[in-house]
Amino acid sequence: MQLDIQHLQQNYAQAKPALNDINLTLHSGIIGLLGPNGAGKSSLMRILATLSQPSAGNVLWNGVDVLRKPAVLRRELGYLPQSFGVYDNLSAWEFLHYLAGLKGLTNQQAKTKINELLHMLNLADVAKQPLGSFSGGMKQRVGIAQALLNDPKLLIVDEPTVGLDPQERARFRDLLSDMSGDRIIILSTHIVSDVESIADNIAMLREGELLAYAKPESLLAGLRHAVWQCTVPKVQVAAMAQQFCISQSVRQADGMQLRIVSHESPCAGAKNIPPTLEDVFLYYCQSSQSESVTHAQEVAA
Amino acid sequence: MKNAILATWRADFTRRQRNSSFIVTLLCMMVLAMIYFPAIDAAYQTVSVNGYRGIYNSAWVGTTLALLDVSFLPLICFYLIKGSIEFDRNSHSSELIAATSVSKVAYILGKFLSNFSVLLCILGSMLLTAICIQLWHAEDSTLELSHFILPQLLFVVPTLLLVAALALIFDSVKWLSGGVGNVLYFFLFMGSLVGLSLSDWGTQQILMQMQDGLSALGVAAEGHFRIGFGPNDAAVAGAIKIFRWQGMNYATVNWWPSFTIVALSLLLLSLAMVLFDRFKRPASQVRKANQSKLDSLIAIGFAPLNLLFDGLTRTFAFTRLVRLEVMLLLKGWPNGWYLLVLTLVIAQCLVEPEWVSGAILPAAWLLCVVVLSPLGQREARSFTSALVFSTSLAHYRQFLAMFFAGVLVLLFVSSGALLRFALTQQYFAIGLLVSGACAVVALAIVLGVLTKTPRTFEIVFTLLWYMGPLNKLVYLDFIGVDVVASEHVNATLIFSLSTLMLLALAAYPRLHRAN
Repeated sequence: MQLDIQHLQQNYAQAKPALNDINLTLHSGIIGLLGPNGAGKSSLMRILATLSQPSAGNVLWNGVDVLRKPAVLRRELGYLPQSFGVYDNLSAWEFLHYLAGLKGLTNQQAKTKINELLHMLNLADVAKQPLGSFSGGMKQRVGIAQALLNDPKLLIVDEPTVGLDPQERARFRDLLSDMSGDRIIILSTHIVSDVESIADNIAMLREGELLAYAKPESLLAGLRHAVWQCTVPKVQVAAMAQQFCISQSVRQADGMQLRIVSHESPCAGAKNIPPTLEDVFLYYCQSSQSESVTHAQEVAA
Repeated sequence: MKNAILATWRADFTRRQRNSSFIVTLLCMMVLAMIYFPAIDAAYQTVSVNGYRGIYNSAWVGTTLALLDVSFLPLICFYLIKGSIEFDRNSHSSELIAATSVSKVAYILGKFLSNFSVLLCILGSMLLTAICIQLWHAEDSTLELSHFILPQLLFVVPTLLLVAALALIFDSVKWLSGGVGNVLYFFLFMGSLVGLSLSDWGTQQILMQMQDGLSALGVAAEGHFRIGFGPNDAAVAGAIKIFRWQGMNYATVNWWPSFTIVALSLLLLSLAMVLFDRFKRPASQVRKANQSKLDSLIAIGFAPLNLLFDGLTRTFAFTRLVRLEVMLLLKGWPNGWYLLVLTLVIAQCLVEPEWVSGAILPAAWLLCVVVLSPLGQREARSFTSALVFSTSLAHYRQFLAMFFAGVLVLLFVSSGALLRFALTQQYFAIGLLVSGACAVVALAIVLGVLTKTPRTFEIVFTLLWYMGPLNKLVYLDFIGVDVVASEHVNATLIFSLSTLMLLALAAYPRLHRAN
């Protein structure tokens, strides 16, 4: 199973492209797509979900060009967009049954799968209630259920944990982790904790550019000696923020304890500490393009 | 409060005028104004009094424009401006607005000003066009602006104030804000036209003054007026007869009805302020999870039909998809709707045959307008496009399933009549009803796809329904009120061909998207 993204380019009216020459080869497993708002994550996902056409480039699903033959991918695709609607007058069961019909499931397959998913996503008790009466989190779980209806080989989920409570988020992460064996799961988010425990690989996007694609441990290794902790007086925090990438600040009795990502020691007495994926994410979000690229090349090396 | 009114007006008006449809609307209205003043030897004519039309001087062009505006703008403009409160509700900005200190009075006044501003833009564009038209035809090139402005002030502006206020009433009342309101307004408009023709204000007052002008020239007053489009009867002889009209005699005009209409507008505006719920109702109408007794009774009543339909369709993927589309169309309507449909279906089996085609069937089909109007743009309006169009069967089979589901709904509401036609071997009537249903559903889909709003179909269908089944215009009689006439022109074939053309037009964007 392989998804090839070749020289993908997406230009909108604005001068800067939404996606600029993206090249990726994805295999089975969970791929975390990380990037700040406006990085191009949703544009990339909409192209992969066959919903929009890129300005240039190719997408191959097991060697088949899905831009020319989208039906080949759609049969094996599960997609949860960042924002979506439901038919308020239908119950969760009816809505899922409708989408199961569109995905080509037989009556029996649909019934079995819907019941299984409703139980898995804790929706069985409300399955017969109209979707209009559902909370945001419940609708999100219905969205997750519809994406899994056809047992997809390529699952694309865009910000899937929005609106879910911590328990549901953990349950969803476990679900993805269990499913990841024989399929490609692309999980887009800017909640780093959603991907750090389950992603096999992470793609970092910023301003339409793919900055890095590597295993989490490689990304962490790249910042092994670049995360510092120090405590500074409160008045100095603004100046430090101008100069360095601060990934965390905690108020303390003697000032502010800062967690700083920097290749040099930010201040006297700063202590080198192990990096987290959050540090990596902030580093890529805040550092200059050239710094990010240099770091990405180091990671790749 | 002044700031709140101005802020509401500015935001709403800016939003509308930046919408590309605003320019398109202005252009369409300018074109309408242009074609309303045909050349003397054109194949059609518009306003005529006893077979005469005035020379295109400022008096005739300005006053005739007022005739056009007062007759047609209430219909066109109402649908253009309706929905400003619903827009805030559906865009979820309602919650932000409701959390501010803006009062109902300030908000509604702001919306009213915005509605009226849009209407004034339309009026202004038509006025400018009319001035250009007078200069273009050059039958009389002397411009007298007062002849353009006074009739608008006297007749059109009060009417537009009334429309702006009425739109807010329809927006503020839940059950009037959707398709039911659109259909209801159509009949309100038709009623007002009849009322206008019986009153001595507006069109009648203008036409009578035109006739007086003609009488002053010694032409016999026969009381034959036309204000719509019609063939140039005199074209055979060369051209329609013309006369010079000097304009309205405002000294004899009764201004009180105009003031009354302005006062009525203000009254309706106040009513809208009272009726507006300040966004207590959420964007999507959340139904109670618990079923009422009537819900349960209706569910029990439909259960055998549901089971039968399920059993008949479950084997094949396509038939199942059709069933699911039918469910999507029919779920969630008020209980009264289902009861009314059932009553009409039963009535089709029991009442006199002429009542079936003449009243019961048209009523049953009119009930379906709100069911069919979401076709073609339901996914976009419900924000389910990404879910639906990323599936494998959405592009081809779902399109056809949607079409067949719509046809099945229309045939279901006509099932009593169909049964009766079958028993009496009226096979042409059956064919006509089926082909008519196909054409209507195809029209709903194509209008949904092209205009991306249910409102277009609701208006167009009501108009066609009024002209066809109600007024027996044979080429639009999709129900078969006059079966003999329909058979004579082979209406079944006409509707079938129309269906194919409309479906092809509707399918093109979807198939383009599929690839």
